[in-house]
Amino acid sequence: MLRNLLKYYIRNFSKNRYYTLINISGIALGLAISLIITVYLQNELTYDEHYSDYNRIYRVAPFYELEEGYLVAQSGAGIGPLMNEEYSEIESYVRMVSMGENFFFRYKDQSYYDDFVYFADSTYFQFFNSEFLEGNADSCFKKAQSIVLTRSLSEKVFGNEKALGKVIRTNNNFFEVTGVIQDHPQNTHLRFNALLPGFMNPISMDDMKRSLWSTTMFNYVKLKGGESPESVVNNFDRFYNKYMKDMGEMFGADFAIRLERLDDIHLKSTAAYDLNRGNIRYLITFGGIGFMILLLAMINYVNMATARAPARTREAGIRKVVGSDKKSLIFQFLGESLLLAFISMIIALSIAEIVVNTELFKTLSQKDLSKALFASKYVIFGAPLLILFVGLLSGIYPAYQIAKVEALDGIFGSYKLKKKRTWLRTLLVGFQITMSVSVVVIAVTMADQIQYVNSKYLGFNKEEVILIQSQDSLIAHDFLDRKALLLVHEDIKSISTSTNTPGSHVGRSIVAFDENGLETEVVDFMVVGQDYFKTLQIPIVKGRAFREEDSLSTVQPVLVNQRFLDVMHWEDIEDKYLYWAMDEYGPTESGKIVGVTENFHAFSLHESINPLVFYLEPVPEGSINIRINRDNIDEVISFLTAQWEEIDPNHPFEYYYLEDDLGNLYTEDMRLAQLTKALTFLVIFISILGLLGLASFIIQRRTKEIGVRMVLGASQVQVMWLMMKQITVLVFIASLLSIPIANKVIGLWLDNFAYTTPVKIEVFVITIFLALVLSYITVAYHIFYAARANPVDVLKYE
Amino acid sequence: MSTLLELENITKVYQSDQVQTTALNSISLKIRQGEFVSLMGTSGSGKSTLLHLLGLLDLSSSGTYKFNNRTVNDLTKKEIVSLRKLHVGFVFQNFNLINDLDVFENVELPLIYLKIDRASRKKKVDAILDRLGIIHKIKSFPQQLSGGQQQRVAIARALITEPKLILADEPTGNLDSEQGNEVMEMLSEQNEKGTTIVMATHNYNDATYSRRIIKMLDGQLLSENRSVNVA
Repeated sequence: MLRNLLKYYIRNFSKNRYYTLINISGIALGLAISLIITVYLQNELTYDEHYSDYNRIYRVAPFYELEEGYLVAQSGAGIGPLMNEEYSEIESYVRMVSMGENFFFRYKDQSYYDDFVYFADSTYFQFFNSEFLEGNADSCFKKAQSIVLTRSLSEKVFGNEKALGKVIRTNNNFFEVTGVIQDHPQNTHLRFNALLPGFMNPISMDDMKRSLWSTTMFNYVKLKGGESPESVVNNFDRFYNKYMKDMGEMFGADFAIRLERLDDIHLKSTAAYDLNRGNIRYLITFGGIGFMILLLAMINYVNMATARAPARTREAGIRKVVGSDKKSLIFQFLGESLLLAFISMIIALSIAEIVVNTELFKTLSQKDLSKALFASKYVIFGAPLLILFVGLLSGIYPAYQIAKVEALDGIFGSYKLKKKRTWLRTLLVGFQITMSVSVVVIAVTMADQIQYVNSKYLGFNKEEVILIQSQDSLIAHDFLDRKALLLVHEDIKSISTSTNTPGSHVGRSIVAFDENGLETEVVDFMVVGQDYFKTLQIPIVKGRAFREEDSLSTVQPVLVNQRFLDVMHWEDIEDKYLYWAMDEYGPTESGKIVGVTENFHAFSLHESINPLVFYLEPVPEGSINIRINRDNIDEVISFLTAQWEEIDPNHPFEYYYLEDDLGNLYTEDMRLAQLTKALTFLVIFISILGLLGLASFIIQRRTKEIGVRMVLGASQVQVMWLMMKQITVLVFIASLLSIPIANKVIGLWLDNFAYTTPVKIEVFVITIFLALVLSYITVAYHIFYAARANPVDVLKYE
Repeated sequence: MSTLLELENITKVYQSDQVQTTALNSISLKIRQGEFVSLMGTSGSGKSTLLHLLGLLDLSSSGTYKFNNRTVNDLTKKEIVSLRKLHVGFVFQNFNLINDLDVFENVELPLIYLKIDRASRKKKVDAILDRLGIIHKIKSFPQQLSGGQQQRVAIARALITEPKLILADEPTGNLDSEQGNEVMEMLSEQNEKGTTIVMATHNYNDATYSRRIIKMLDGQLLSENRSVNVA
């Protein structure tokens, strides 16, 4: 029986190639997307699970409360050791500090910069197990001047040579390579290329207590087996009272902690001052889109199968006459849809494997999943389940519709799908159209928003500013000593320095407005050199900018932004002072507010403008900012390179544009927008398949009517319009329904931004119009062909 | 000969929207095992409806129908299907073969539904196709056969389960006279072997093959002739 059925199915598929192709295309695409999203989600949802103790490791995230609450990812140097001492639940701890961007080192005559170098407690490799390719975890950090590299960095510096024992040099130090570890899996929240042992020198208790209020490093604790994080968090009061209360009372602030389990950090953490994280909303979106595409393809199958039901009912009638029962028929037709699903899955696996290996996918997803597909247990076990799910769910309704026909109705062709049942088909196609229009509107609005954030005026002039990272303040100092010489060049307009640049992490601290530090506010801060505001062309709205003589003044000048004044409800800055750098006795630094800048976006447009304070430091470590004339960029760069090489021949001159750096703030959003755009085409394609199926059905149902009308004198155009009308009403209503859906979904994404472009009504109007046009084009062939038919042939069909 | 089919006051009414049609009106009829009966009448006389009722493809609106002494009205749907596939074979005017199955597969279909094993099916199908002179077309599809050949395949399918009753609805309607005579010869031959045949026809020539001719008009039995000569 099964052999017979298989032969029968294959004959059927090849006889009805058109429908088979449409069905397989749609379902294979839907399944391929589902498979790709499965491995992507698997990657995202298993961050850090490769560490054997991941379910016992927690990151300590401080929660500061000062009027508002702030959860941050980084904490102070004393957190780990003091909590380890205080809580018996804690087995061990590890701290990690970034060496910042552009960590410089040399090997022989080659120079290297790396953005992912950290130092950590020497117990790091006992805490986070790693696979050592050279050296081992126990001995690699016995010496202070050690460094452990990842395989990729080792290959980059040493090629195929063994790295162990080799020495690399930084500006002021040398480090022996004492270990090489396997590269971190992609799904690791904190990946480094090199690790140095740190915290070798003991810190005094006073310094440790002071450090508890700072946010300078990542602290991780490992709990003993069977211990729960709640027992630490709920008992934090005793820690606070013992080590932090004095300063807390002085700040008027409260402090608590959250323990973030290691595998939850990537998707669930909401702490600020963190590394790049995933976004659970995006995952839900991808998962939702993937499911929707599969659903649309299944809807197509259902629609086309039920459209063809009348043609299949004759066969069903005959089979019933010769002895089949309803159950056997259902089994037969379900088998057909299962076989179709199976064939589609084979194709889908091939498509998915090809797609994940393309450079485009790797760029869009920022992941290399090329070996993940067939290694994923979810794919291996999920594929057969998906075949069953798709085959059964798509096939059950058409199978039932065909199988329930009475024998006589089937063989005499008197079976007609009752009118009340056709609403389901129309509803399903309408649903497809609604989804298509929604997705198009969402994709267009996302592109609009990306365009908006990239082009919005940020309150400063981001163009024609190049940045040079200076980790060594001596070198930066020497470079700035040549400022006068550099400014002689006609294409160099202004030079300044700063600890950070707009878009990078700005510091956050507590400032006070009284000497005793009793009235406080949490503010963002930047440490800048003179001419900073001139270089970035940030307008000063009150007072003045920093001047050359400020560095000699006994009273430190500070500037604030307009938002600061608004929050403080100050009209002016006359006799206004700030106090900061708190210890247990109060503020240790003070300054006079000498100027107010216009508000500008120090962060990305995801965030609103906060009160901002500018401190003056003649040569702060961070970046050198140079405003240039871009028209002569080659000459300017040659000139600067020559100047730099005179000061520091050991470090290559490297620079980048501020506007490129700012563009990177929206990398995730742009990726999501591009992915949505790609998926939009798939959704439209599948909906077109649905419309083709619907057109086929309409014509079939109305064949006799078409014949009669033509015999009575209707023209082809009149007949075509008769059938187009049905499609027009459907497409129009379905498109209107997309408005609230698209609005809601795009609203969720736009909520990520503090500044947004409004959703334009014309996007809806144009999309709906295009949906109508596309629908007409899609169905026109079928309807035109039917309208052209000889009325006699049409009536004979009956 | 025992009574195979017994109808008592059978009425069949079709209801569609506002319209009610009485296709059979209080029909009482007995057909014995081994008889060859023709039902004759114009279109709409009810002969096809009566045939469908006899073949358990439809149920009466009222009255009693006994098939081989079993009252059909008392049977469940499953029992009716079982009874039909064991004891009834059908031959239709338009053959009603499945186009996606070849000759062999069309003929073996009833045996599949009776859960006969593969080897036995092959043996039976080969035998019947040989007997009906169509074995050389065993791998052909219906659309590759002439009308006469298709009807022979349909007859083979009807006979494969060795049913007690064959119901033929205008079996020669789509055939030329030569092909029609061949088909009637086959049915006649089968009847001589003991199979009861009830045939609906408006072809007098076909009716002469039967020994009992029942005339119908407007859903009622009009008259009956037991000789081969038709008045």
